[in-house]
Amino acid sequence: MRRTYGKEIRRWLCWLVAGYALSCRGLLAAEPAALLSEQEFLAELPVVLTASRLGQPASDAPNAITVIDRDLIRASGAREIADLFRLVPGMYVTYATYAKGLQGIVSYHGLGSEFANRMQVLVDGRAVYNPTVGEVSWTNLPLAIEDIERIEVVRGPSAASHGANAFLGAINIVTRHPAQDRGVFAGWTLGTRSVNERVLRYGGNAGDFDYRLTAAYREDNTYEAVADSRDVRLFTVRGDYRFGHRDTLTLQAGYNGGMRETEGISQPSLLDPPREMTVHNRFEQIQWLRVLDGGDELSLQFYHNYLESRDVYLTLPITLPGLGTRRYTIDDTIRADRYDLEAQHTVSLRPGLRWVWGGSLRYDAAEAPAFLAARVGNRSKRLFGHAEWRAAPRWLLNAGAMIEHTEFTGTDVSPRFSANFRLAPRHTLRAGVSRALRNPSLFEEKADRKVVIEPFVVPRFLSSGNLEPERIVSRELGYVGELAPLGLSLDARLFEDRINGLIRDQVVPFDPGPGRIALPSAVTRDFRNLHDLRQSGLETQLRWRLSRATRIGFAQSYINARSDSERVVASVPRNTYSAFAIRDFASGFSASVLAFYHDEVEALGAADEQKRVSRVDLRLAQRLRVGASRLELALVVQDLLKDGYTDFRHENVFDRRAYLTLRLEL
Amino acid sequence: MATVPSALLGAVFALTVAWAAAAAGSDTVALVLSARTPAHEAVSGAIRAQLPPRVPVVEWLADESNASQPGAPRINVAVGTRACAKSAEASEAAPLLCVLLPRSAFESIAAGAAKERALSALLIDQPPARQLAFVRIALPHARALALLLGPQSTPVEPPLLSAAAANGLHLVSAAVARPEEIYRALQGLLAAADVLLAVPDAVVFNSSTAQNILRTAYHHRVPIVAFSPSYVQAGAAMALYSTPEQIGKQAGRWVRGFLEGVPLPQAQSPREFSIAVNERVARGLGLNLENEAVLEERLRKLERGR
Repeated sequence: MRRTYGKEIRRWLCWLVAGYALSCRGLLAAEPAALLSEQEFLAELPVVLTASRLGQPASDAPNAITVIDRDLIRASGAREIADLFRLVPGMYVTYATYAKGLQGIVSYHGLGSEFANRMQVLVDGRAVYNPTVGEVSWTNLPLAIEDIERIEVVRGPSAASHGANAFLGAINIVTRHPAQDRGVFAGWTLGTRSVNERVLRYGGNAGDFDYRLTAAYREDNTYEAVADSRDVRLFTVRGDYRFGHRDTLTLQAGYNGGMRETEGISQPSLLDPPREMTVHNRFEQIQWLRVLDGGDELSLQFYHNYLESRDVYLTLPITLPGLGTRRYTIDDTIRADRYDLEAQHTVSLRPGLRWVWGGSLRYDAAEAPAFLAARVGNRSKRLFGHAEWRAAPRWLLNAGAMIEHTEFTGTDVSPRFSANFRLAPRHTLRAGVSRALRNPSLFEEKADRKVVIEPFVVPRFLSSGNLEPERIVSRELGYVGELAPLGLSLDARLFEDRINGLIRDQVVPFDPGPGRIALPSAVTRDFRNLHDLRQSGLETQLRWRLSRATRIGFAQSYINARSDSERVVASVPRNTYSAFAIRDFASGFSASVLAFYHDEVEALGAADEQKRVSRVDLRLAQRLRVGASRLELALVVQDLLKDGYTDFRHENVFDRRAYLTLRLEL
Repeated sequence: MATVPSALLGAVFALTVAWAAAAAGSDTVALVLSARTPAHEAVSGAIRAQLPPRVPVVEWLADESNASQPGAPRINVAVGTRACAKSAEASEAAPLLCVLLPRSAFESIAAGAAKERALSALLIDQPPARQLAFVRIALPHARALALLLGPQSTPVEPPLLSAAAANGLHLVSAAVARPEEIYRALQGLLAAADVLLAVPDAVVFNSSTAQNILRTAYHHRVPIVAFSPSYVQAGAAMALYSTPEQIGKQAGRWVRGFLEGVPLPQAQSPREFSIAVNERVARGLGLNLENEAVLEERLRKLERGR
């Protein structure tokens, strides 16, 4: 019997040196026609589609959910992440520019303001809102739109699943796994309004470690009459390491910085002239996921967000009695940190009974001498649990709650219940009730914003503190259905929400203190729990895949708002509509159209009245294969049919614009 | 006088022993394993369980020396590709039954073996007709079946093509040579298919590529029909496979039959099979899959009716 020692030695060397590396296979493949082994049939595989990765199907979920997937993101032609939310029924999206440069405002069921803080926004499980003012700074997120795999929008309070601040709803952004983006990707966009963007991404793999690096540079100038140009420098990195068959470690870090032009409202302004500020945001995140028997999961996560906006500038020449005429230096810098440690356990207690529970510890701190009297910190901790029980073949019951304790507001509970009844295999009715609360932001609780040029003081905000959290009780009746042979899915939601203790600022008398003179008058703004609001209405969403190449969608919402404050009612759009149609052709050409409409709105805060808004966007793209690489050239025109509508304030005139994008995948 | 009966007894005894030894030697089953994994041990155990207790079974690992066997075995049984390849290299008269290996491996080995050597196999892969009948039963609305092939799995395409045509299903396939090409090829396939049939191959379907394939297919809402329960646990919607115990039992019956004089059947796929379903994934994909027992029964009925 012949024995080929040469092959044996090579094989053993291979295992000694390289382990599972591909190089090993290369060496072995050098043998002519390697035989397929039975091991390929018998090998153990790591669990990839875990409970959390699968998510719940829409028919089993306790809330109404809208999913925006990658294909829809690409077909929309959106450059800004905030724009994508116009596709969600009931969502109000606009942009403001004052005091912070261009900022997207995304708020479900109205109540938008320059500090839209009533939604929880998570990126891969990390909460991204700014604890100081509670807003989500969409422009300053260390996240490139090209790296998004999908976005899940939960319409309705869902603290039990998404944590604190999921007051009106929650947005969960999931980024792509590095293994999906191997190789080099480059994109370049040029357009009107000085749009100039470049993106470079590299995805690689070293054995069980997949990683991705993304760098982007974005430049634009959104509104003509406003100083809002920006240059965004963005860098993110993600690495997923699989060790053993059950454990995955995900590491992420990112940076978003650069110059943002900004100015105060009502130009010309002495104290708030146009100027440049710089932003420096970064985060670090580590998550460990262990898959237990039967698909159960255990996860542990830690992250740190650092947000900094440096705004040091000179006022215009100011003449003050006794002080002559000169320019003064103002420092509006804000620095904020968040540290969060969270653990979550998903377990199948019995077939048909799934239990997810966990807890987190969080520390928020902000330092902003021009906004807060002193460095403010807030420790909070929360415990949450959620059970999903298939009580009978047709009945699925969801029950969950979150218990939260913060230094400011003490302890509170946010429960949520829903019952899903399966009318037919693909048609589900859902009834639910949930309560949630929104804790005041650091600024609402401890604001002390004024400009002091001794002995004069210009008061802006002064909080008397002791705010109660805002509370919402939401009741809904929903329907989720599918007509599979047609590829049609329908989602409808009837809701009634009652919000108590809405926090708003109101003008109050201001005492400048001994030896100081208040200019221009002795009033300031204080945050108080001022209003109640009742909202009821109907939302529907339709998605229809007519064929592999054609997809259309439609979303609608009608909201009837009643409140003791007319302004609060005016911030809620009575009717909103959105629609999209996407068609791919065999030649690699694709066309998509998006249309949006909403009734007049006057958002809260410093917003102006916004007349009815309607807008149509068009995207035309051609894909080409050049050898092994893929190329795509796309033309996007936004606000195609009309020419201009106003966003947050009258000076924010959004006029028709176009840009060209070239994408290359090697 | 006393010595005669004792001598006779002794002679009878010795003859009996010699006869038993000769009989034992002539009925020995040589069992070669490719490796000592639970699956191989299960096959070996199931084979032994089918054989009469008096039949000696000599077992060793393919990589060990086999100089210890007493006398030529009546039949060689090789479990796994490696054992089959090694055993086929030996020039022996006794037939070789290869068990638990893929058809493509067996056919390669058989082509290279000596002409006179009697070879048969009880394969690990499912017959194409059964795989496609399974797809038709589990996913009645599916029209297009995708196949991602690697260097070792290309031989399965032709029989699958004809079986697909017979079942009214359209087959789309893509072949890749390196793991880096998988994602691109998958994108193209999944855009055109209703279901992905996973076919084993060291380059395409292994634990590092599984992540990518499972996630991508799920993202495209395309269910995967896999070949092992482990793949279903990992995230494939369903699988059709034969357990090592089922294969070992059938192989053991063949060996027992052979020892009793029945010739070995031709190389074929196992008769018994099992089905695994991942409920969570199926629900996530919006599939209305029946439970495993029902699907198994329906597939068995369909096969019997054939």
